[in-house]
Amino acid sequence: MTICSRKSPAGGIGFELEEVTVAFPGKAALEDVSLTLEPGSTVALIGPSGAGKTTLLRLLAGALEPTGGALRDMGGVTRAQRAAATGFIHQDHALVPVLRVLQNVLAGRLGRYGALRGLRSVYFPSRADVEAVHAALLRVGIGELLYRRTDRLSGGEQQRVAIARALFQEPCLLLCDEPVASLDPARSRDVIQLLIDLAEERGATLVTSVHDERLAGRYFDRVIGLREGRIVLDSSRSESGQHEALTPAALEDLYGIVRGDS
Amino acid sequence: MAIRSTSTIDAGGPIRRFPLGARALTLALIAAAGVVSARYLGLDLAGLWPRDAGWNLGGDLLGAAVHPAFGYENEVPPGTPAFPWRILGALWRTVLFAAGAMSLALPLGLLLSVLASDRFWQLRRRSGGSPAARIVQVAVRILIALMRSLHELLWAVLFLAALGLNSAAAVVSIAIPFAGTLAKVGSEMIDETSKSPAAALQDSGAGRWAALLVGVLPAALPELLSYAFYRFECAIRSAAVLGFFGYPTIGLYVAQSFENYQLREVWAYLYALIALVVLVEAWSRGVRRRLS
Repeated sequence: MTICSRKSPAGGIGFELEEVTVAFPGKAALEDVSLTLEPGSTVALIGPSGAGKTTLLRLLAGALEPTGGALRDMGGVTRAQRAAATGFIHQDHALVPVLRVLQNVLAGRLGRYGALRGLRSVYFPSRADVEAVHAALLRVGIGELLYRRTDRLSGGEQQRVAIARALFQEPCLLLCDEPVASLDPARSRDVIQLLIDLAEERGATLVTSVHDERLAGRYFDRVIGLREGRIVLDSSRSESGQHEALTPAALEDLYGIVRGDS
Repeated sequence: MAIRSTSTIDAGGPIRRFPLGARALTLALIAAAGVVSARYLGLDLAGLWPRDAGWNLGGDLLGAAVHPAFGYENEVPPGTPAFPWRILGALWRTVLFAAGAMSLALPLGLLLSVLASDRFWQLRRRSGGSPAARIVQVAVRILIALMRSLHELLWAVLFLAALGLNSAAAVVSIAIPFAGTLAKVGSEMIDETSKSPAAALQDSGAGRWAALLVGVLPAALPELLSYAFYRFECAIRSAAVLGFFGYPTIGLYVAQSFENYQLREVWAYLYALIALVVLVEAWSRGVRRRLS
């Protein structure tokens, strides 16, 4: 069963980007990006640092507006509905340090609940709130941390809190910025598998930036390579389950040494 | 052989000299300010050396310091409370004045510190930005500066002239500059918190006030609380000094005993005040340790 179907209010979030440009003063972070992201697909963004991966994620999150071109989302939901159904796992986790794990996870629904109900649930959680948060924490494997202060946790534990917060939002779009940047290979695979499972259970669209192109090719339906703000690689999993476009030559072209610096 | 930069970051051309001239000028100006003020005020270190009567007072004062009073030094009218009770009562009223002032200054100072901070105005509104925002922020900052520009003792003098000896006026005269100081320091503490938690909450649809109350203020809370405790300590000292104007805090009794040359009583009051401040400090340390 998929929850994020086209029938649900914020369901089935996909995007059509048409020659989208995002320019910051003095520099274009994305240039003429045209792309269709199907609802329910799992997409990995790869490419060197500064290629525009985070900008693309923030664009999809609604935190940025394109400065050129058009960004359309499929599903016909309001901006507020889409924001509430978008779970964004930031590279720095973006958790509130002093609050408890419970409260940080509950904060994920501030958008859906609105200010009054949201604040009441963060500062005076009901029994049902606590149980729902505990279920989300169990799902990411840290049920015992429910009442711990968030800034006393390790980096890996904080990341799982951030994932639990996104999960608690009941998202139909799950965005992750470098979720495995500081993890060892075994933990990296665990976290990626967890994200894929969470997205597939819900039928949510998953877009993740990763440094490791092997992880990208192994776990994701689609791998998009960005370089200097442009798409230079776009590979979909073939019938045989392989990413045939992820060739060594294509990857060398993506990551290749920047010329002109001799 | 000419030495060439191998760095890829090449500014091109010779590097500028480090601006030592500006640094030397600053130091010279600071020194000059000291010299000018000393000359203008006729500061003379010999004036710090007491004359004959001064020696006697100084000696008596130091002697009394090691023999603080445990009872009244002179006969007191019947019905006067015992000396330790008078000290405790004076301390209690000192704390009451300070607590009354802080209970006004804290909520007002917190509200103003939010409105004066950049972080709050950076939060996105559902209805989009408003040109009035900058005007409100600047107006609040001006208000804060006005509140702080008069010391609590000057506010007390103003209120005393207008209203006479009035406890509410004393509390308000401490609360006004304290709210201003709390707001100024508090807004800086709020601006030092990380942007990202509130931004993340707003990305998931949280409104401005929800993002403030969940994403910003809790992060600033340990610092804010620690500073509020320090200001409570300052309020106790200010309330004590207000006694010199006739309010029934410990300063009143210090002034009375001093006028009657009962220096051992003076020291008893001062030691009690010091003990109170140390007690508050111990309490605030306990709270801070649990929070950080």
